[in-house]
Amino acid sequence: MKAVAPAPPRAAMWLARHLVRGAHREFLLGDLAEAYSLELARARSPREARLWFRSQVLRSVAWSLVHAPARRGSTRRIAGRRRPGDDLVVTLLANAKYALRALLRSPGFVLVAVATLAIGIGGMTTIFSFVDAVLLRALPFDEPQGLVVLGGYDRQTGAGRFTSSFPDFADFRDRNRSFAAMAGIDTGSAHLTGREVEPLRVSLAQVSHELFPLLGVEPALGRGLLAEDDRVGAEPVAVLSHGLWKSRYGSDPGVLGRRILLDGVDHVVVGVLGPGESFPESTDVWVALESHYTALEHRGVHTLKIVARLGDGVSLAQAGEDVDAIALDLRELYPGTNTDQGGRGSSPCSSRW
Amino acid sequence: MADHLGEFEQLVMLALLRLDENAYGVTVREELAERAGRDVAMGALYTTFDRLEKKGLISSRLGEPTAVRGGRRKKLYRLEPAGQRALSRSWQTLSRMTEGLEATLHRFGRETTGK
Repeated sequence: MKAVAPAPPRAAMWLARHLVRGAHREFLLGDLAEAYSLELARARSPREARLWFRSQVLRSVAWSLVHAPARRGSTRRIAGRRRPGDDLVVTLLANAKYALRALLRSPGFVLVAVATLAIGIGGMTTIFSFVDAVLLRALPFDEPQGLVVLGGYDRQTGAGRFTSSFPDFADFRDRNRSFAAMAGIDTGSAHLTGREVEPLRVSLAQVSHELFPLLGVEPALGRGLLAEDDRVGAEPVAVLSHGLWKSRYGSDPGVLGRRILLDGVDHVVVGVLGPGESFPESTDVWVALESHYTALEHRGVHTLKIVARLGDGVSLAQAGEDVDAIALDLRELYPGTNTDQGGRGSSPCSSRW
Repeated sequence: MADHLGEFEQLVMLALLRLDENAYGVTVREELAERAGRDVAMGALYTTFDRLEKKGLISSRLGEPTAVRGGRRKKLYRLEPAGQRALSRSWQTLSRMTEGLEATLHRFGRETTGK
């Protein structure tokens, strides 16, 4: 019976076949295969032989890449020049080898270049993370292209302004003809306390009851905020983020109906959102705007952000004209507070603001 | 006069001398590992073969393909007369330089190995 030669580890052999260069390639590959069968007979275990083979292949590949001459032409190919008929891989390897040698001759330069690259890449990554979150990544909500934020500018300073007073928000919400829905949001933080648990600082969003339906968000547990919750004197209720529900309440469904203290005020937990559904980003707790907001009557206090969903068939430009006209009206109606307020316009929404 | 031989070149040529008609990558590598304690990458061996062949000190011929080599041929090497002379010169140089120092060198060896 004819003895079958043991096959060397396939991945290592594949690597050798593709990366070993030079005129002796075929002989070297044959030597590697033969040496493996010798090592297999000698080693304490097949695994040891395989490890030995892999290290031999890596050493031979490294040696070949640095020392072996290009397959065709002279022994030292001039980097950067590709001649007709040259193998692209061979030219690339020649260039890589030339670059490696040049770099090894100037370690100081390599250090400075690597440090410069590291700083550059780090900076670009940071900028991209911001641009990605603000401009590129689609919001995780239904038809995100229909979501806009209302913005304006200060007529005296020309500075952009993306906040509004509650009375202005109420006027925009009630008088516009361009938006299917509009919600006001005020963000901040609060101390979450309770019996037998450590106090925790949480991100709090006071939002009008339109927000969740406007975003198309259905709570995973319980309910969202209702119009009855969103009025002065209503019993304070809270909706929790999935993250807070998980970390603070151990994903206990019994949290619904439980009373929690936010800045010392009793709130009933009425709902928990699904994972990833957080708007504005990183909010832990949502409460109803009108039962909490302290400047409901003050047209001069601009702390509310306004997010809205465009009506069917309404363009961003048309919506902008609509809110500009309302802003102009408000300026005439309330010269004491709105004289400096320029047309508000609107712009596409992002999760960070 | 041929170039001065480097230490590794001398070792490889001595291996060819010992292996006679059966000197190729695998056997030379084994010989170097066994006698000189050198664990050499196969690629490094071929670079040296190449250099010695270009100097006219060794020559090569093709062997038969075998199954254990995946159907690939061996490249067998042997010393050329110029190689034999160069190797002899190196050995004579070393002998002249070490003449009378044998006992001392043995002692150094014992001190190094602790035997």
